[in-house]
Amino acid sequence: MNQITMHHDAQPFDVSPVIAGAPNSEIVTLANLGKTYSSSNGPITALKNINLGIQQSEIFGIIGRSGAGKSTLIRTINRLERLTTGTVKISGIDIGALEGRALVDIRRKIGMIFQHFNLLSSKTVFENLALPLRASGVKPDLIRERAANLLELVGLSDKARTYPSRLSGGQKQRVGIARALMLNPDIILCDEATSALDPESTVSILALLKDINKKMGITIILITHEMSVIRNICDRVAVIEGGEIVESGPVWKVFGLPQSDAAKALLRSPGDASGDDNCTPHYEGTDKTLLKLTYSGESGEFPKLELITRALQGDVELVHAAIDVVQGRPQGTLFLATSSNAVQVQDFLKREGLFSKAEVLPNV
Amino acid sequence: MSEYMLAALWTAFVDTLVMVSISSVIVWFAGIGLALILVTTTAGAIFQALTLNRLLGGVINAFRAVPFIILLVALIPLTRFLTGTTIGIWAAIVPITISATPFFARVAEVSLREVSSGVIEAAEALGCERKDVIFRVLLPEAMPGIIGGFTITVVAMIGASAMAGAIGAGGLGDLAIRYGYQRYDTVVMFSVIAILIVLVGGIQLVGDRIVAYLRAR
Repeated sequence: MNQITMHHDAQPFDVSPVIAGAPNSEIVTLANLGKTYSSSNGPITALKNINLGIQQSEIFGIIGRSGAGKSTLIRTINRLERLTTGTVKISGIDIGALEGRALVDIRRKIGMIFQHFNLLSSKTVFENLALPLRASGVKPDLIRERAANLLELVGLSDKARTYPSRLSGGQKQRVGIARALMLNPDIILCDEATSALDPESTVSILALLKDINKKMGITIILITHEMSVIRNICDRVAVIEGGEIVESGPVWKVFGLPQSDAAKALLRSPGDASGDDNCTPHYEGTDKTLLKLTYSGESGEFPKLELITRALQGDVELVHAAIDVVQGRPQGTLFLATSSNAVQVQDFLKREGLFSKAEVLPNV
Repeated sequence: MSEYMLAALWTAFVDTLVMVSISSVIVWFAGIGLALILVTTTAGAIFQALTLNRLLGGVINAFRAVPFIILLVALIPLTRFLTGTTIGIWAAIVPITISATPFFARVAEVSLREVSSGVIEAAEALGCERKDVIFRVLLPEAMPGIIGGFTITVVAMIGASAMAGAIGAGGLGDLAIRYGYQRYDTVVMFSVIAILIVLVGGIQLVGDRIVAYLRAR
């Protein structure tokens, strides 16, 4: 059922954060989720046969194109969205059967932040933070204290009396994060939390989320269509397409060795696209051989240029290269042009340890 | 203008103020209450109850369809039952309230419906119960629009109170009809018009100020 449990021991180069407390306890279990809407054109399947287990204190990303069902999926976790089939368990509790008080209680353990922040425009920053606690009957003194602490954490201590309309997008999302933390949740759900932000704010919000995850051990589940979000902060990722999980695993693995078409399209390794298009025409009509070396990160090593040059036994030109480090594992592509003859190139392609995959590109 | 007329104008002005003020208080609560029922019982809302929603919507539409002057007469038995009389300001409050409430309910409904579903969703996600969603989220967020709509409603009620004057309700409308229309006393007629203009202008100004204050935050 749980296809994507990460085995820490099995990886030689695992740099995912050490989980405090119980390392392999599942905090969210999604089993056989299905969701069907009825519409005027007949039933629409939004989610189909989703099975995921999310570990305590990890950052789990769900990536998919718009309309893939990721928004519906994350909303099933705090039951903003009801299921047609399957079960959602939070720390072992099946939330599908909860009603009224019990549902409110479980929601108070699950914070949520939103793409468009969803702050109350009629309330100050402080009152926005106070809302979830006032609703749960916490004493005003405690509310003030907690709000002050959290505003300090998110770096907005001076904005308590400001109305949201006077804040920038990044600041609004910081308020959203502080509000989600007010109830001291075990889990935070992020619904496209950075999609409406500029690149700079995106980086700082992601850093804040990572910080919260590390310091407080809060499990973060996020959905996004941006692979940079997954690459920057997630431990594991699931790729959703047409309402189904088509692939999942540790981020470096899904990035480095994507199996499904959806993953390949969403998580193109750096340099892949520009390389193919740019370098081929330049070598048109020459007798050089164009090589594309792919590094998917299993070895955890950077490309060894000297060994490559030696193995090719001819001169080597670096045409295009992009290497990115994902979870401590170098991944990416090198495009090389070499004057080596056909036999030398064939020998090179069979070498092990110099690359994950090598192919000869047609130089037309 | 004679002293007698001045006194009559003053009495009529106070009567109008009392009629409209008392009606306004009732309309404020009843209208917001009905609007909340309309908004929260609609499809996908927090207290979804489609039959109740349609029924209430139908009743509100029916009352809004009847012209005030006809409602005034049609409600006479109810008015007599509630106030024991069919003349005077208390008798006027009944039809004014019953006519203005459905109007204001519709206006308030529009403002409540414009509260973004995302904000409501956020409140639910953060463990707000339905009463919290209504009183801590829906009403505060919709308040500028509700107050703007209420200003319009109060102005309409002043108009209605003048009409109620036609069937002996007292107030400025009554005065204008008895002296201005039936006795051709142009001075009284224009005095009443001047007072109404100032009254309506003042109410609109106060309403606009409150809305501007709430929106500027």
